[in-house]
Amino acid sequence: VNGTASSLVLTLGAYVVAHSLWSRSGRNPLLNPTMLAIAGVAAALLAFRIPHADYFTGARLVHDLLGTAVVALAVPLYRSASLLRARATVLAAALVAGSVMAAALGVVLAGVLGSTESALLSIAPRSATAAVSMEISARIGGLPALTALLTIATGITGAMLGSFVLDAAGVRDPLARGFAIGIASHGIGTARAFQESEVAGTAAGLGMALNAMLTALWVPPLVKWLLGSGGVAP
Amino acid sequence: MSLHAPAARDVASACHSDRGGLLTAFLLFLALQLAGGALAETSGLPVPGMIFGLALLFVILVLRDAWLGTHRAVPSGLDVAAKGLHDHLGLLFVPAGAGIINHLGPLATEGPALLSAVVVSTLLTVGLTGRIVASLQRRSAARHADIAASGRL
Repeated sequence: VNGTASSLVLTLGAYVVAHSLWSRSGRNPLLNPTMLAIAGVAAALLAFRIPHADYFTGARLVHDLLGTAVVALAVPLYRSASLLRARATVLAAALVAGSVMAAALGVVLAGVLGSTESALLSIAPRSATAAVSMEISARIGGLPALTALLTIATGITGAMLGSFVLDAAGVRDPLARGFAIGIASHGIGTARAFQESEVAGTAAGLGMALNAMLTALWVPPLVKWLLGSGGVAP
Repeated sequence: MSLHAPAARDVASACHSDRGGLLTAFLLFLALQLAGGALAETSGLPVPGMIFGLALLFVILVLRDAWLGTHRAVPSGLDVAAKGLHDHLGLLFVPAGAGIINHLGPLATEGPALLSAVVVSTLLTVGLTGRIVASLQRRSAARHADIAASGRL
């Protein structure tokens, strides 16, 4: 089963079914449409023994629109620029804290649970959007393929459970909710934040973009320094 | 990606009858995606081209407002096209996400530890970052209220 049409039918079909399940559940974040659609496509590929690369060649159009959608984030960002600029200091402080927490907590927890060094290097950049996290992983000696997987798991975790955690923490402001979800769980989290409200989605998009840049700037030198001081050959 | 002359003419004539501005909007998004990719490559920075594209579009919107003397105005076509993309942003992750089937191997051995670390650290980050924004905001709002109150006195 090759070809663009079959890949697109599979992708759109899985998403339309997933989206209607989610809608019918009263938009329950646990039935995250991205997660359900990925599970559906993955199951179909395994069942029909279709290599992911063959499927991906056909579904490339949908994947490339991701970059288009990120460029288009400038539109809601520009419209809410006054609101965001008024809170620039607060958002900058939260960005630094969130970026450090995402990487440090992940590495420390995985270390405590006994992960190998290459797995620790692969988990460090995983809160940045996939294109960035894989690039950083390769640069610091991690496994980009494992990082890709951990990045998707991170996005789905934030999208499915982030709303509940924010409810429990008593965070009601859409700007705060979106920004936190975007920093911790990049684009998949941002897609969820747009489901909450346009302000939350825009704040999430900003958090995602800023954390992608920040993670790329601070994780590689820190890891290099840690490995250097720890006497472990990189 | 190369645009042949007839194709470029088609695009131009399509834009001519593009009343809602949707085609122009997509043309602009895609052109900036390309330009962003080129910038990322030449700059050598580990930032993906799409983020350069986002910054370019933001700058264009700023310049457009300055040129027209408007404030935070966005052409309706850009608005509609952006909304369409963001309403179904989740769809765009499906092709790459399905790549999970290639990595079931490493997941089998180290999976449980790594996935627990991912889930717990991500949720802690979401909750704590959200609290930081909310409490810093409350504090700065309180300070502004104080200043306003003392100003009235």
